Amino acid sequence: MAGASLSVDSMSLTYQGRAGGRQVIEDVTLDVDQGEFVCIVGPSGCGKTTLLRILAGLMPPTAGSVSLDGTPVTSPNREVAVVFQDYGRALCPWRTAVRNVELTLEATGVPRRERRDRSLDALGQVDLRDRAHDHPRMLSGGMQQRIQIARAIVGRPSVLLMDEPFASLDALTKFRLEDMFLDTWSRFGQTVVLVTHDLDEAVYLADRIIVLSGGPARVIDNIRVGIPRPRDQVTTRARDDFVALRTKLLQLIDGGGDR
Amino acid sequence: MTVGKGARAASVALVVVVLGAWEVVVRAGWISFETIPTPSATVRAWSHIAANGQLAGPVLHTLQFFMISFLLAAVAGIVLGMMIGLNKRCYSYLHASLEFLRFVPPPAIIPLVLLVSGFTDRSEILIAAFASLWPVLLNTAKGVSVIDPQLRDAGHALCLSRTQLLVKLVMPAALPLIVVGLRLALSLCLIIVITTEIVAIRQGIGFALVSASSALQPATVYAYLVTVGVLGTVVNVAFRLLERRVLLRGWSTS
Repeated sequence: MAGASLSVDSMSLTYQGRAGGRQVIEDVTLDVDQGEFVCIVGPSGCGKTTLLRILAGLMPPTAGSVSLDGTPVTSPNREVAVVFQDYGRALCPWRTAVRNVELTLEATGVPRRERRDRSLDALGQVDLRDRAHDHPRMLSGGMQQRIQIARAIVGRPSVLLMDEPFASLDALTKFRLEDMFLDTWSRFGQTVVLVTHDLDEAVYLADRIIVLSGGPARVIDNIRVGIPRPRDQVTTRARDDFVALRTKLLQLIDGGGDR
Repeated sequence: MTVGKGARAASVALVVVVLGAWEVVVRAGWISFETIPTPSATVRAWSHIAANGQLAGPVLHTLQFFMISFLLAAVAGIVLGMMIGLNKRCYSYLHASLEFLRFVPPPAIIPLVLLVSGFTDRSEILIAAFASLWPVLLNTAKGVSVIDPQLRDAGHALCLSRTQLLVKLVMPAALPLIVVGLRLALSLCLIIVITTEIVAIRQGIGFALVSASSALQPATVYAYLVTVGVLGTVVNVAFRLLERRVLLRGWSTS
């Protein structure tokens, strides 16, 4: 349940098209420590989602490697859970909230009774216990994304990979979910890699921010966020170091992004 | 679609008014065709055939053959559709042929089947099942061949096995399309069963209609027509209920 370390070693990805290759990711090397919360930021369309899919073992890189606690990642792994951006398409509309969460445990063959108990518990973690028997369509976007988070944490993974999990939510819901997630994370201590294009969100959530350039994605900076925890939506965001860091990120991405 | 109480009452009133007007117009002799009975004559004819057993027999025959044919088409269509849809190469090879077969108007195969298996019960089932097979098969094949890539990613990330992926994600995700196929097959199957009875098989409501017509009993023809209408409605309503309560529970918002 405690985190695992994740490392990416000079990884590249090139799509072979008819008109020759197009490089999407260029020589990315990064390390994420056990229990660390890392945000990867970069301009839209710079290959962040692709990078995350490779980390999850959903697709292979063209060159280089990914390893989890020293073991190469070549296929999806039970230790690694993924939260996708588009909750509407990542959940099963025909299953109730709790049955969606149970899917994780069905894959690992957990007995029915335990499955239900643990899934209800996971829904409790994201404050959705009372909506456990509703279908996703009856729930708001924020609630649906919470189901996805519950589905990810119920298997007690050591690594959580999140692809812009809060991007399609309204500002208030987003703040609330960020805090709820930080709270869960502080209790379980998984290693988290969260991809986002929202710089404020990255500064607010992360221990460390990895900045990617746009097309092809390269690591252009690696910044430690020294802001103490627990963080708070009002006071943290008003701190001088928060604002300074956000400004720095914005300059980095503006300067090194679209050319 | 929700219909208010007022609209529902109005739609019932409309039927009553039209039937009443019909009755009056025919009785008063303003129009008189021997082939147009009054609604009351139709009701009398209906109770007559209901009493002497000329109703129950044909209805049971038609209903029975309709159900057997539909079930055959449903099972065969879903099984074959899955086999074809899950195999990309197979699907692409068969696509053109399937599209062609689908556009053969179903009654056109009646003579062929009669040639092969004669004027038998088996022919009636074969014809109706064959006709209703296509919508089920094609919709099932399409449904299982396209799964949302995001959902597939989610399934892979959860480390579902191939079988689990199929049973827990691909098949349920295809269900709405399969149900569309079944619904199309349902109406088609009833149409073809009755058509076959009209042109070839000397049983069921289709044949009863032809007999009443050749015996020059217009009121009886209308009585059978009303019965067929009610039968079709009952079958459809039953299927919608099955759809909402069992097949697609949770898919819709209500």
